[in-house]
Amino acid sequence: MDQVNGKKILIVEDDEFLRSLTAKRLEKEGYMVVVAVDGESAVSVARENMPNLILLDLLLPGINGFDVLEKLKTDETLKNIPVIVFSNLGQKEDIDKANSLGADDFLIKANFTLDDVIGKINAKLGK
Amino acid sequence: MNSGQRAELHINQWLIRARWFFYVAVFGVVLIQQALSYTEFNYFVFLSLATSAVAQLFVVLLLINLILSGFCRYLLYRVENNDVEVSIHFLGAVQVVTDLIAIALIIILAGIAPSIYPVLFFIPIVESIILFNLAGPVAVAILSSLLVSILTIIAQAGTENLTVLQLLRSNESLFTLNNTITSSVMVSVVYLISGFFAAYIVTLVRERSDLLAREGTIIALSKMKADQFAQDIKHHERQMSAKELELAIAYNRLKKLDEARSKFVSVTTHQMRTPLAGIKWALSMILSGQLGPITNDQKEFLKRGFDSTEKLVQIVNELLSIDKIESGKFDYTFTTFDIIELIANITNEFVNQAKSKNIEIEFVRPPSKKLELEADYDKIKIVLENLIDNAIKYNTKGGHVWIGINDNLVNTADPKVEIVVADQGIGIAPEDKDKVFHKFFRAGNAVQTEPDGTGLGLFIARDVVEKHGGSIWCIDRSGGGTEFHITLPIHQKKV
Repeated sequence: MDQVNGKKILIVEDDEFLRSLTAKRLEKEGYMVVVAVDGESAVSVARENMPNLILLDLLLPGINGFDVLEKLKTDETLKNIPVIVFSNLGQKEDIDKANSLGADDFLIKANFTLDDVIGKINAKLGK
Repeated sequence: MNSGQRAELHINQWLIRARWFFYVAVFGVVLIQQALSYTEFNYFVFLSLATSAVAQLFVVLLLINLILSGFCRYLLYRVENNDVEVSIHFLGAVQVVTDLIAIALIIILAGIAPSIYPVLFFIPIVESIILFNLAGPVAVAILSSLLVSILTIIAQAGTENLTVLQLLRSNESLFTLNNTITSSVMVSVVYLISGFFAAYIVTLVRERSDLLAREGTIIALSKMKADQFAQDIKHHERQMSAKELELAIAYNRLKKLDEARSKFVSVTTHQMRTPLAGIKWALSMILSGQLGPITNDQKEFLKRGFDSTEKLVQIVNELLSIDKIESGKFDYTFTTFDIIELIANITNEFVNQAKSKNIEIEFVRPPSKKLELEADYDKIKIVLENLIDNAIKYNTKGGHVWIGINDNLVNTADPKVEIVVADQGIGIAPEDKDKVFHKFFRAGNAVQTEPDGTGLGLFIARDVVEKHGGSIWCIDRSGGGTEFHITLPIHQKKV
């Protein structure tokens, strides 16, 4: 339950409740969690911590999630980290845009439970 | 006809004006002739000339012409004010008669030679030709020739110093009288012939000018009509431009309203999703026991909460779909996939839900292993999920749900696939069979079975199926329940 599996996940999410819920669930699954609360800090936190996977919200204060995604995927050191876009925008344009910027997956928060999310993360990290 | 009358009056006017010159000329010649017969020219000579009968006649005639001129102007005034009762012929007749008498008197008073009589009397004939039609000139011709004869006889009586009666009784004068009468008759004949001829020509000319005048009025009328017509068109054009403007404004407003509404819907639904996700996750974490053990009662209530949240999420998603449909932003991406596999997957998804309601769900596989068609995968998935969800929702306890595919239309000219979802549920009343596809419609018995429901699912389903070029309908299942049929074409046209 509480074992550490050595994988680090970066959560970029501005809503405090959702962020803490997600972090809690991930930690229960044995992941290490780092958080960023807005777009600016997302890239720097990613660089500092070099996570194995990034959960990225799109609706962020300051620079929006698409810009962060673009920055992550054009940065030499960061571009290979899988990014799961995690948002409540679900329009086709948004999904297409995210995919074209290099997102590995796109989940609508309200349509999934955290367990589903865990399942996807486990699959992505080959656990 | 006003213009005709006006024309006639103008002729009369011209004649009256001409008469000034004519009288002045004739009387001038006569008076000069008389003056020249005097050897000396002094005041007394002038006085006697001025008071001679010729001069008096001259003055009288000038006065008459003045009266005629005034009368003619008066008639013109009456005609200008559209008084049709004017008799212009009377004026003309007075003029001709005046001239006839004037000429006769001049001849008598001035002692003009008889050889000139016919020439002088041509004047009234010409006048009558231009004033009247055939009857006038004929009458004047006869009158003139009579006057010529009478005056010739009087003149001859004068030269022979006899009275007229004496002349008529004298035998030797009868011979010259005969000559005179013969030449008078010839003069009459000449008058008459030339009168007829001229009258005929004048009639032609008048007819021609009448025709032209009529055509002129017709053209004027047509022009007026055309002008009026052009004005009407201009008026209508202006109205149309105004209406076009109104329409453009209204259309813009509608577009803006539609955009605003769409934005409102999408923003709110997205905003709603965040807290919904929060509730869902929190509840699911507790329910899974990750935050510690929970009692069965707690579990039951929390499950209710979780299901409600799920429903809310579904409603929000449906609203978003509707909004996309309405604003035409529902994009369709057609891919080729195996419909059998899709239905099998969906059926699996619903197994647990069906079991919880004690319902059996069964996919009746067709003989073929694979059935590929071109469609929008996600949207068809939504439609099928909706139908199966309904089949379970409105089913009786312990009932059955069948899903089948009909492939007997695949190898035809218009290849399509038929999917059937059958249940043993509450059924749909005949009058509701089409209404269930309407937006927000929920049948009475459906509401009773399941109070919550948006009435949007079938609306979306029909829109999706029709956008694929297919059709969707429902019929009663023999043995109770409902069958929903969907046909989908195998191939989609390239847009």
